[in-house]
Amino acid sequence: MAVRIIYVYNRYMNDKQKWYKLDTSAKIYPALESLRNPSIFRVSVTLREQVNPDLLLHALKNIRGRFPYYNVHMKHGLFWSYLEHNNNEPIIWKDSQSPCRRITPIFNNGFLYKIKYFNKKIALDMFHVLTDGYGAMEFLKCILAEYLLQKNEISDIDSQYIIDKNEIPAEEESEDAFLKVLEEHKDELPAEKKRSLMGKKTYFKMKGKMLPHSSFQVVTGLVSAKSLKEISARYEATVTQLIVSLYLEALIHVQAKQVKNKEKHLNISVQLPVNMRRFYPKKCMRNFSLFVIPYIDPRETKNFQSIVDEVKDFMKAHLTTDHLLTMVEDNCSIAANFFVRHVPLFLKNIIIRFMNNTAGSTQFSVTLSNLGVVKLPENMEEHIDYFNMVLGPSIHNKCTCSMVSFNDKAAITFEKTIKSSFIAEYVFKKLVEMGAAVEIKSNY
Amino acid sequence: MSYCVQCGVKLSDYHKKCPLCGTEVINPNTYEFAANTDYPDYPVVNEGEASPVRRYMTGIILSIQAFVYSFVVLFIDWITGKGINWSLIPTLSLALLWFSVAYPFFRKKNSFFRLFTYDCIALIVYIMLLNYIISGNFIWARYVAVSVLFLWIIIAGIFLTDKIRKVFPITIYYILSTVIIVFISLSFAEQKIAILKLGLPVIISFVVISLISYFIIKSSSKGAWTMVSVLLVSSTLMCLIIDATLHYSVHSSIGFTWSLIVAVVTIPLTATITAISKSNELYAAISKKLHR
Repeated sequence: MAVRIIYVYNRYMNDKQKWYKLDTSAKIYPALESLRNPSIFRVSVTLREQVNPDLLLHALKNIRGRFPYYNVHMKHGLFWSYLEHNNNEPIIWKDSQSPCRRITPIFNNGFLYKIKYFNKKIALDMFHVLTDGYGAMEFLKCILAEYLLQKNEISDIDSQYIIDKNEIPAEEESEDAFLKVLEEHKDELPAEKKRSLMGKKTYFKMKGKMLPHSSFQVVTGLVSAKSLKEISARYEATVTQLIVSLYLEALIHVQAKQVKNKEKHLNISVQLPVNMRRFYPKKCMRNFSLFVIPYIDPRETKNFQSIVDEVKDFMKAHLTTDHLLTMVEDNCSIAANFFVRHVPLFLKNIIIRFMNNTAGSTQFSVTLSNLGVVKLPENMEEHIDYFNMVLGPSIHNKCTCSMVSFNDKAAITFEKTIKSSFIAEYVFKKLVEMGAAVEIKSNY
Repeated sequence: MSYCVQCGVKLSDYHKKCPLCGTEVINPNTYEFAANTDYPDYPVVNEGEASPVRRYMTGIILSIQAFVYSFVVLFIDWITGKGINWSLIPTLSLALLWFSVAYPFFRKKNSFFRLFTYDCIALIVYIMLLNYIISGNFIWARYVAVSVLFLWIIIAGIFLTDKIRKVFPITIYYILSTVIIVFISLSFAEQKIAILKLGLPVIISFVVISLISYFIIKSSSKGAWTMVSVLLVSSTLMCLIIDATLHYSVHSSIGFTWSLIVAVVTIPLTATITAISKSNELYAAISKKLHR
């Protein structure tokens, strides 16, 4: 009932004024955002020619009207933060050595995203309050298409793969899809309610010597997508399952080095964001992803194939509409709770930060985000080298991984705030041993 | 395009060493590495731009100031008092200030521990000289000097723990330093007997109980449960020792009064917690009943 009230009220307010409530996932980010935990992620594209910043700015100005829910600034109310329409002019930035740096709205004309360029690369640093990886990629694709059109590299834009800039944005794009899905599918909720969002288990967290303050190292491995598929077919798994398994195997070695006493070894898990649009087709352009946490017990793991099998079984059991719907309900019920809704914002922020630093930090060992395959019209493909995704630094996540594919190039990126590159070295070495050619790009 | 001989990956033209394993890139065909084409390098200060501020200039300015102020103070004292009398104290203070603030600017590398050590030495020398100037002896300065030394030992222990990361040497370090401090204090303390009767047993038992508790907690697999029971037992033991020491100093015999009340409460609680943590079935049953 509480969820229904919130959903109807949300729609009413959106109709009345040009402002947006934070969606269910986004509510925690203003509380967690800090210099060392900026809650920023990056999607970028490397072209075959140098980027023209003037044309890029022109392209951004042309398409920004199509995405009104991204062209906002954040304000703070008594109980929750919210987003208000931003009429300022956007700015284009030259890229910095460390990507995903904290966005200070006051220096960015109030905007919560940044378009950066360097050499042949266009990057979009996005604050997670606005959207998830899917939404950011659609935004970037639209800017890219308009940029190539401005540059006369292409004559028209195929709206099958790129959002039409002249289209009026649908109301569905700015809605909170979590509430809507729960409203529509509440009868399908499983009878036995299990609390699935926050587990009780504690997982291994790797240690390491931190890099100097605000430093962030990124190493990208470009691998042939075809060879990745062949390798994963050998283990009867998908590419995501293969990379997750390699990641878990690397962490087994890390734990063996860092925790000498085998009896004290903890389970190792990988937080895997899941694009909910695959299961509930929505036009939502804001946050609409949840996560599953496949894990292994290193004391019971025999070889690499056993890790792959465990990951496969876990994903099969948890990537179901029942389980995901339970997680949606869990997600929404916290925010819909009467007491949570009426606690003042400053107090909520303190509690959220405390919960994140204690319970939240042990829910998983590391994060891996696979954005999937990026599809573009044929007339644009020849101008693009590869796409890339970078997850921003986080206090509790010392090493993360992200993946995105375009044509035959899969970019696997490891981001770290510690000096050791062991995990990236291990995964890429293993891929080379399995027969894939890996080309390395890095910012150090 | 280069390859890493260790990892087998292709490296970009700008890689001087492999970002994964750190192996240096040696390409006999190229003599210069290209600029990074994916991310900008850190900004380089070119010729003609403003050069960075030299640290030692700041040190020189501060030194000149300290010298000038000392000279003025000494001059005024000499003119008015026909000799150097009261001006030694502010001069000494300025010397301490110079050593703490200006001297680090003359050094290229300053670590916190090195600066802290120098400051402690300077403070001890200053206090000793101050005591001598005022009273002609070192009576009260000894106590301050021992306190500063004790503080330095604790801070040094923290740095040593970070470097060595082995429990046994750190344990020996803290025990020896505590004993040394106690003996130094005893050598010039007037109420030696009071310190021996009251202070020494408490300090020694505190150190021993803390170390034993640390070892037990470290070696246990059920961390939180063991920590609670160990903390309860060690607190009870400390209460018993303090109570016994106080009783002995007053009545010249060992006895327990208020600490028995503490023991009556904590011992059954500790036994319960220990029993639960040892029995896997009981542990699981209680956890299931109390889960949230």
